[in-house]
Amino acid sequence: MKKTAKFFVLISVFIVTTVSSPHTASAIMVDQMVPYCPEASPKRILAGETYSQKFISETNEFGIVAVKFTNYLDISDDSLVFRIKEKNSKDWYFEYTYKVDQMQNDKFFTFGIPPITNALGKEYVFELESLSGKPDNSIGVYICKENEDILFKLAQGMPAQKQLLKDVVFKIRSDTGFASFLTILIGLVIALITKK
Amino acid sequence: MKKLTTKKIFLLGILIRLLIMPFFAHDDIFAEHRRAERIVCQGVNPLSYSSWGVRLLESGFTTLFTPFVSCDNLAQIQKSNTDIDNLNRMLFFFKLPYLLFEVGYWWLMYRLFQNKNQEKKKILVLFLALNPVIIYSVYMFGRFESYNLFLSALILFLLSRYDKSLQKKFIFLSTFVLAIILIIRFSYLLLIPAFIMSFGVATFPGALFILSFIVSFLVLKLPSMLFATQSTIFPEAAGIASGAHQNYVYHAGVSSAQHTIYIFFLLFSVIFVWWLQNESKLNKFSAQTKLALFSAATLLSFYATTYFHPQYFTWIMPFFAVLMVNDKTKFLWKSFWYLLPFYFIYILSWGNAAAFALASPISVVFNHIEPSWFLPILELDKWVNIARTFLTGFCLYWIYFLLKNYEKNS
Repeated sequence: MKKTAKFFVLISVFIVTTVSSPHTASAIMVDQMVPYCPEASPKRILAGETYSQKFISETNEFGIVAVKFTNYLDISDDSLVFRIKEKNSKDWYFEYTYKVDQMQNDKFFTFGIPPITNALGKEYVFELESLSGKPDNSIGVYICKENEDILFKLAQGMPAQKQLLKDVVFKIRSDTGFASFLTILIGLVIALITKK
Repeated sequence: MKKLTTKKIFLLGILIRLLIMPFFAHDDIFAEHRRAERIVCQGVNPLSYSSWGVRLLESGFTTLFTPFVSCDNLAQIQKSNTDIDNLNRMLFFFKLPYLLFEVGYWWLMYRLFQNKNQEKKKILVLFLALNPVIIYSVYMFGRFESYNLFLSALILFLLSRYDKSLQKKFIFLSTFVLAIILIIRFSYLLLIPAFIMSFGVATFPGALFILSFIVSFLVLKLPSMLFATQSTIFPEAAGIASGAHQNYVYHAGVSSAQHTIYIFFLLFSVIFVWWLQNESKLNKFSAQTKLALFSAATLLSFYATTYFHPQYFTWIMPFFAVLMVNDKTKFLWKSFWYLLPFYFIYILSWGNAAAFALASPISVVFNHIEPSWFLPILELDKWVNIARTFLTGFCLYWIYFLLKNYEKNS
């Protein structure tokens, strides 16, 4: 009885925390500002260097800025400060330091920010600053060629549930042999557990 | 849970692992297998890498599984860790050796305590099969810690044979296994003082340990000394000396005039002095129990005072299991479960890459879930620091509890 009560308390805490979160699952995949620059090549950010980029919001509300990084297939100890504000604003709207070992090779890293509303057509600027990047111990950010602005486009992702279903179906279809093998293996183990 | 037999709990553990293996990954498992791909498919010399033991193991298993994951398929991980054909199949075979070694670890640990009563055995089996730290670190994060777990259990097993027979060959064999662990995970160097404290310094077993350790380690290091292309024959030692990525024992310190008092060494020195005071009294305990005690105390000092990666917390598990089964109060068993929420908040220090993004082999959706959404009120780094502080508190109290209990019972 005592154990059951503890279990329910824990589950309740989890549900309350999850439900009270302003980010519902369906909001996860919408409104990403994605840098768009097909010819981009990565450049290392070294200690003290700041990489800054302006963009005009094409959506009325956004909560994520995605930037493509490369870790050069190595793990770096550096940290990056990400900050964002409306171009003419004096203060930064949001600032946070990220360890770069979170950023994966040739993947977009999504900087989650408190949602910005009434953003349509307004100009924003974000900065990335390296705290301790060295030539052999730093992360690379994909930037456009000199004097060429990165274009930001709004990627209106599909709702999370739909995307999840699509990905799972695709994975099962693309390797049916393994899916069948795993199903049989798991079935066998379950049969052994439930056997009297 | 009462109705589940030992066998069924182990099977449940296997089931959970099978369900996780193909669907979770951190970049580290790809980094590890990029090296394996270079060795197996491109002919790179495994001895050219530091910690060549793990490179050899991973490339050996990669060769074994080439009928299921071809070199052409493997080559894709050199360019990306998302746009890969048969990604889930690949992850399954990457982790299959981890499961096999972990089952070996379970078998050895269970054999150690097969004469204990049913309740103790049930606790042990639950701790082994359903350990969330191991499930997370090995099968979700995807690190190769199963190899170390198996070898640590093998050392404990060999020492139990030594305790029964007093045959010196078991000291040599356990020392040789320690040397093997070092070429897999050099950080186990931390445990050498624990071995010395277990055998004693001015004793025959102690001298035999030191001598056989030096010989074993040099023998195992010899191939990489002869064939390695590295500039240094002890790259791991060079890394530790320079305070590089793998070394965190110098991170926490208190400034005192011109010097720094390192907290880890401060805590370890207290354990060492406690051992000096109680050495003769501790002789009533078996070498296996003493090794578990000193290894756990050393690792707890490490976790309490340094920056450590999530998977490092698995290293203590075999030693903790021995102490937990011997603990009549069941305090260690109970408090372990209370520690877990703090451990899992602490690992958010690595952001989403160590949390929801681990499930990105299922769907890209998981790359976009921020852990901070689920931890309201405070900023994420405050939550992490609070959890980190609790972790330190638990570790310090456990050290106190262990030393006090073993002193009382000696």
